[in-house]
Amino acid sequence: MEIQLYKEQDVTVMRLDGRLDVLTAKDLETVLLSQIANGEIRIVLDFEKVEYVSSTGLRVLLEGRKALKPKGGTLALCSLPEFVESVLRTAGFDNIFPFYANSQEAVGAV
Amino acid sequence: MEDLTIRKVLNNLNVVPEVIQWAEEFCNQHHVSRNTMLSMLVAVEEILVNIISYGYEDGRDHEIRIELSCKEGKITAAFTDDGKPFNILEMETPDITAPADDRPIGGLGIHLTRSMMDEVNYKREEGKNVLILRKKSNPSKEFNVPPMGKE
Repeated sequence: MEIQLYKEQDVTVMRLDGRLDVLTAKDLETVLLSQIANGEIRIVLDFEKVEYVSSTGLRVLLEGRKALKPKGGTLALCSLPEFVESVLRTAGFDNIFPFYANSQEAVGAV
Repeated sequence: MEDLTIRKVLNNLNVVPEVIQWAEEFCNQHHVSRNTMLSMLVAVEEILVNIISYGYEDGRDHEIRIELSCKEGKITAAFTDDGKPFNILEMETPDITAPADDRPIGGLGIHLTRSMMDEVNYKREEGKNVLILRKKSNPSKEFNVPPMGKE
C-alpha cells in the first residue's frame, strides 16, 4: 500500500492507495501511529484509491483512534468507495468515525 | 455447467496474497460482479487468516484445502482444514453498536464474512472443519444483513 502524506490547515491527510488487507495493514499502522506519536492529532484518511478493506485493516483504524483519544484528537475518513463504505458500515464503524464525501470537507470539519 | 478449481496451501500467512489473487482470477473468469468478487475476497481472506492464526497449536505444517466453484450464478468457496473444531456459525455477533473503547478486537472478520455471504455452512467431518461459503454472483444487494448502525 502506498501512503502519501500532506498537511492542509494543520490537518494531516493520508492518501491511501492500494488494498488494506492482512499484509498491508501494517504499513498503515506504522505511518499512522508514528504521525500520532509526532504530535499530529487531526488526521484524515483518504480512501479514494482503496478498493478493498478487511478486518485487519479495520483494527488499525481502531488503534489509531485509541492512540488519538487521550490527546483529544480526531481521525476522520473520506472519499469511501461503495464497497469499502459497506464493509465499514457492516462493522459499525459509522458510529465511531466521521465519514466525509471528500478530503476538503473532512479537513474543514476535523 | 460447474467450473471448479482447488488449491492446497500451508498454514502460513504468507500464502494469503496468492490465494486472494487466485480467487480474484477465478471470479474474473466467471464474470462475477465487482462487489460480489470483493465480498468473496474479503470472506476468503478472513477465513484463511482465521484458520492459520487460530486453528493450530502444534507449530507444525498443516494443509488447508480451498475449493472454488461457480454454478448457476452462485460462487462457492469451500475450506477444509484439520485444525481445532471451529464453527463460525456458533460465534456470537460482536456488538457493533458498542462505543469504540469497548469494541472487542476479535470476531470482526467472522462477522463480516457472515454478513457478506448469502449462505454459510459448517460441518465437522473425519476430524476436519469443512466450511462452505456461497454468494450469488448477481445479487440484488451486496450485503444480506443490514448494518445495525445508524443509516
